[in-house]
Amino acid sequence: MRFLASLDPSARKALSLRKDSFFRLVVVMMVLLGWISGIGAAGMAGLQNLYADWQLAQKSRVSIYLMPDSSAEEVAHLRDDLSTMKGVRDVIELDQHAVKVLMKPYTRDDVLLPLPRILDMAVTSELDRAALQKRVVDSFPMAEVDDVRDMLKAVATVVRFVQMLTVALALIVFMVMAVIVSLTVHAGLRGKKAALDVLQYVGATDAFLTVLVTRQVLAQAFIGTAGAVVLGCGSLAVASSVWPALQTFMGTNVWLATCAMPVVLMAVAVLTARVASIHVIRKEV
Amino acid sequence: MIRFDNVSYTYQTADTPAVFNLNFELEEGSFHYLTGASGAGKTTIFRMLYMDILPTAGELHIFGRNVAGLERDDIARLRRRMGILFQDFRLLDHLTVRENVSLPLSLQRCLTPEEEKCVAEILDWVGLGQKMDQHPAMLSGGEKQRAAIARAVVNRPALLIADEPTGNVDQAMGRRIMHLFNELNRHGTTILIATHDQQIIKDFPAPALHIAEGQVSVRKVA
Repeated sequence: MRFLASLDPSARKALSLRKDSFFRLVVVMMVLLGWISGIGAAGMAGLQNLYADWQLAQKSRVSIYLMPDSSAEEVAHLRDDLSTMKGVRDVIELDQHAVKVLMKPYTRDDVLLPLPRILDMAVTSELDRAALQKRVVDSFPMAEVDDVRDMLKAVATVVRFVQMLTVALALIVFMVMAVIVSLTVHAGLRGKKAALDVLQYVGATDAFLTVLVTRQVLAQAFIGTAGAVVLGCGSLAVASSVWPALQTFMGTNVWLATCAMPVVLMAVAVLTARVASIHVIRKEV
Repeated sequence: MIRFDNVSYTYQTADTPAVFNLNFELEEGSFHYLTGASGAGKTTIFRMLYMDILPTAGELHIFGRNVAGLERDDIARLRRRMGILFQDFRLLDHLTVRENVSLPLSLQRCLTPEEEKCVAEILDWVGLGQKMDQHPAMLSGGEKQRAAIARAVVNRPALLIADEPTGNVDQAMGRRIMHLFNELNRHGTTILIATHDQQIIKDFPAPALHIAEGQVSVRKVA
């Protein structure tokens, strides 16, 4: 609780690092790195939202491509058969105009090319895809069931890679912040060697001196964090107004990530200040 | 209160000990001088007393505790019961006189109104009541010395150690400072003063611990 207790101005002033130019840099770096990490985390959360939406859309639809000469009666029979399967919510056969639109990128203007018949299914996660494949192939050996699982896996890998990259960048940002704070505390306290000596001679414990330093870093980091949060949220607000499409993916988690990362960075700064000050006090005094 | 049992100290860079086989004791409430030529080992004894260095041999007991093996926090707590007066004052220039003097009381929390009053009273006592809001750079040598004395005694220490407290001031100021120490001693503070000033020793007689060639002998001054 000593960390939160109010300290006498004499003690605070004795070890004040406020006039140290390195120390002032902590606020600026905190704003900059907090903003970068906040935006990075927001991007990661937004990507996760985008991926989840897309994955949901992909997983909830299955297309079955049948040969153009498949009889309407057999197709209707298959459709009815599939409708009874567990995990199938709806099965419709796309009309020829819809198929034409769908196939246009592949057929171009070749109007003579026979178009396949397509069954479009709305499914749930309960669908047994192997059983579906078997039923379709039993009726139409040449049919193709559109299975997106491989593609989903590939996309998931890419998404995870991007997310890991973001986490790695965040770690680098944390390390940079830790190095800045550590150097600041080392330089600041070495410049205050006389004050440190006097405080020790009048009976200051290592813990007391550490609190004096850490509280100053906390105050600086808090200002920087507030700046980073405002800057980060402002950036998101501007981005979503310039590109309204982004709003779809800006869930609560995106805003939360923008605010949380600078706070984590502040925690890193305070922890580093504590460790660095203990190190300097024990080594120098 | 303080006991040196065969205490020696050898600096890392030296071949021979700076002080060797010291044996003496300071009783509670006593007043002693520490005399000796420059380089005789007075500073080494002082540094051991405020635990800046620890004996390399023998046992040193301060306030009944053997300093060997004390944790850093224990040393800090023992120092709170001491007043240390350095020859170079060691006042912090970026603090006012009042803030410098408040430092020993500010190690736990904000000063209470009683403690603030106590700081003001002590500054009045040393004659700096009118200069408490000035910075040390604006004070004369004697005033700095008195500010340092005020800081050393503000927490009513059980032991006061002073290194050449009259070395930087004129004779009148030196006598005034010695009167302050006598008054503190009358209130029960144990005092050890390192000095070269024979006149001071003559005017304010007390036993002197004389250190020569790293060893201490006790001289009674009538």
